[in-house]
Amino acid sequence: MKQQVPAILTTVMAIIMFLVIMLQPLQEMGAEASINRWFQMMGTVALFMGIWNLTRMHMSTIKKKRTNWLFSIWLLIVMYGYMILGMTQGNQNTIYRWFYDALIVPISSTMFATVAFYIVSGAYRAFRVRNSEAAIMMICAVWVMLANVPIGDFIWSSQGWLGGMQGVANWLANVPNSAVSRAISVGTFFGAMATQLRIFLGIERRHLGMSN
Amino acid sequence: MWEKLANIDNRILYLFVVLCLIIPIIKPIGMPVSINEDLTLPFYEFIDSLSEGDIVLFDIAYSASNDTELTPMVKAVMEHCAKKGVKIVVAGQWESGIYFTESIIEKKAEELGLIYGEDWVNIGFKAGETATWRLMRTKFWEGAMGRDINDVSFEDLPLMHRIQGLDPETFAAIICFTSGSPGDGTWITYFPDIPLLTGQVSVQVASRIRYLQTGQMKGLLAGMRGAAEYEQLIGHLDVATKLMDAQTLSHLLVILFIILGNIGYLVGKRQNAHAGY
Amino acid sequence: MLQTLILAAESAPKEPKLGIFVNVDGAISGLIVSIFLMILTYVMINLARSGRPLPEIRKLPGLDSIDESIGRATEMGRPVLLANRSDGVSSVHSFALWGYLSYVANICAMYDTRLINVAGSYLSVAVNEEVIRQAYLQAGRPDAFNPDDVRYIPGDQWPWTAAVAGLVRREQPATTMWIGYWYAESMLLAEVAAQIGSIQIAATTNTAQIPFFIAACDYVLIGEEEYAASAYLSKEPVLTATIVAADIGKLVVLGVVLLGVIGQLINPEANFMVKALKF
Repeated sequence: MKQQVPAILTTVMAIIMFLVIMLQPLQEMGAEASINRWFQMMGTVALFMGIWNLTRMHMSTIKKKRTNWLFSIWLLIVMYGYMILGMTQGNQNTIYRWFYDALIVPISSTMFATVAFYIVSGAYRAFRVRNSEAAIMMICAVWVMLANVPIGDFIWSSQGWLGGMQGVANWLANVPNSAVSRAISVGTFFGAMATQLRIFLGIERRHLGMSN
Repeated sequence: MWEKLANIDNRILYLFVVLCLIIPIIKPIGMPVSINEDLTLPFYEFIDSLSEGDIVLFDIAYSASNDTELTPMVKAVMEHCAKKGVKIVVAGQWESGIYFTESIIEKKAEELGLIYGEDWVNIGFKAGETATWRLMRTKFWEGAMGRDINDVSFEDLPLMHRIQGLDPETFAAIICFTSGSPGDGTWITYFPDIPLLTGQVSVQVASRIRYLQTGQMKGLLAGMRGAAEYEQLIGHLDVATKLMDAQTLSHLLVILFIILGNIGYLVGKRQNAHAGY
Repeated sequence: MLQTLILAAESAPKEPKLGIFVNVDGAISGLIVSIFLMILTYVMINLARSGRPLPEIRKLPGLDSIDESIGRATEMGRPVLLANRSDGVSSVHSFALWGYLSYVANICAMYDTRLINVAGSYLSVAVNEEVIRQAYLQAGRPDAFNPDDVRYIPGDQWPWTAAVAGLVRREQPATTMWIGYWYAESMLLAEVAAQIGSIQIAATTNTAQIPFFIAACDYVLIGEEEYAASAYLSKEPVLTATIVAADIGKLVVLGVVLLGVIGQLINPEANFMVKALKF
């Protein structure tokens, strides 16, 4: 029962959504707008579930004094403190905004910036001419990197034959890259569709705590 | 000796990256940027073809981490729209994006002399993902909860009286500045009838170019280079142009290390073969 | 008055296609594709159920290496890490993930190897826990399941990445699996795991991130291979049948593309395939 009800609900909801999206009379009745409004509300309620889940998990860590339990206390203080601050003072409050602008924004930017370092070490290690495929990949990568910066124009001007370095890089992006990208997308679509059909037909049941 | 070239310590690589990024910022070289005719030019020409009074939707679908690449685009496109007398509705699929860009957009609007409520409005982040946007297609006010980012009612904002639906009759274009999902996918899937222009972080460009070919996107600004090109097109060289030097040097550094790594690898391999390993 | 009438006419709903279907491009052709796939899947499932042989699906080295890499972790006495950041419960990636999770948890339980799972969605983490618990139960080792190893780190991109990169450094997993839809964090995470010598298996459909995983990981499952894992690993003929159906669907698309190309070569002005697909 615990597993069957969600499986039936999934199938019924999938059929309803399919009909609502496909049939004009249901669209004219505003069925899609109504369902979307439900989703909007459910999404908001799910947020509370997230808060509850996080609180439950970290309270348990604190109670049992598991590793790094002090950080759990800190997490709960920050989460509830920031929530209360926002709810009582509004999102235009100076302190509320300060936490965001002066902490979250620079920390996030810094984290993203570190990717630049990892790209260099990753590229240095990965682009080795081990075989002909690796050589092609490396040449294309170097070409596109050069074409994307002004020095590419100095080497081979975009006003020149074949549109210069950038012209060739555009061709690489527009023709071989797009072809592969499309092929992967078509495959992905069918893969996703097959997965969805498995869920729809109730033969994929791992998410319900059942073995297939 | 050669093996050392193939196994340079990561810390040395990272030190050179720091130098390549910092030096050009302190002392810019000022290399000219050519305009990409496949990506940037169609974007510019589309905005340039809009008439005074047309409305466009700016979708801020990125977070603070992509500020460097995407915010210069937002500013440059905003300036172009302002010059053409195009009205702007700013919205956000990403909560973090809309709040951190709020003051930046406000400042830019002030600098351009745009009047809030008449020339532009920021409706803020709307929860509920695609369901919300799809609701806004037919009932814009209801989907957007009828209030802007600062909780001002749409009733008090004259521009919003012209907007009842997120449809092609109301919006001349959707301009999505995105670094991930939700992003351009929302507009490609559910709003194929409204012209879509996008500003993308560099890493996403390769996977998005095909949408230009199919006409699902009318233009695409590719990373910081795209922003720098746009700044050049509107005749206002700003931060993206300045940062291009750092990007140039770091690209050259990556290429240099790839070459060194390969020399070390190939010579080392040959020596091992001679030694009979 | 006239302007009001014109506006009203413009906003009036368009005539439905075939009297009932929504009037948008590709509505009918999309419906045909969906129904065709459903029938095909149904036929293939019935073929599998009746015990008749299905076409073989090709080998996926990334999936075949899972057993071996967990074995390596067992020998080294180090844990296995399986992570997913951005996919919620309604995402199709999560359903694929649960296939991996169930399989990996089962093997880990049998080998008595510690499995750490990190999720970025507060709803998915509850399902992940249930899937792992079930796998341990099936392996006959319910006592070995440790709920503390199913970790929820709120999925905001960079805080999540920092937390998981730290976790990789501290726990030193011998095998790391990155399953789902990844963004720019892919490079950072894969590089950190590569630096500690972890065997890495990644699966993603995001074409923008595939090159980064290829640069830093040992095995990468590209596009649909991510979804195929659930059926491939279970070795259940009924599930495999759905992959066969999807592959036949791809062959049909290939046929449509070829027809379109031939059509354009014969009469470039007609655009017959574009018109047919827009119906």
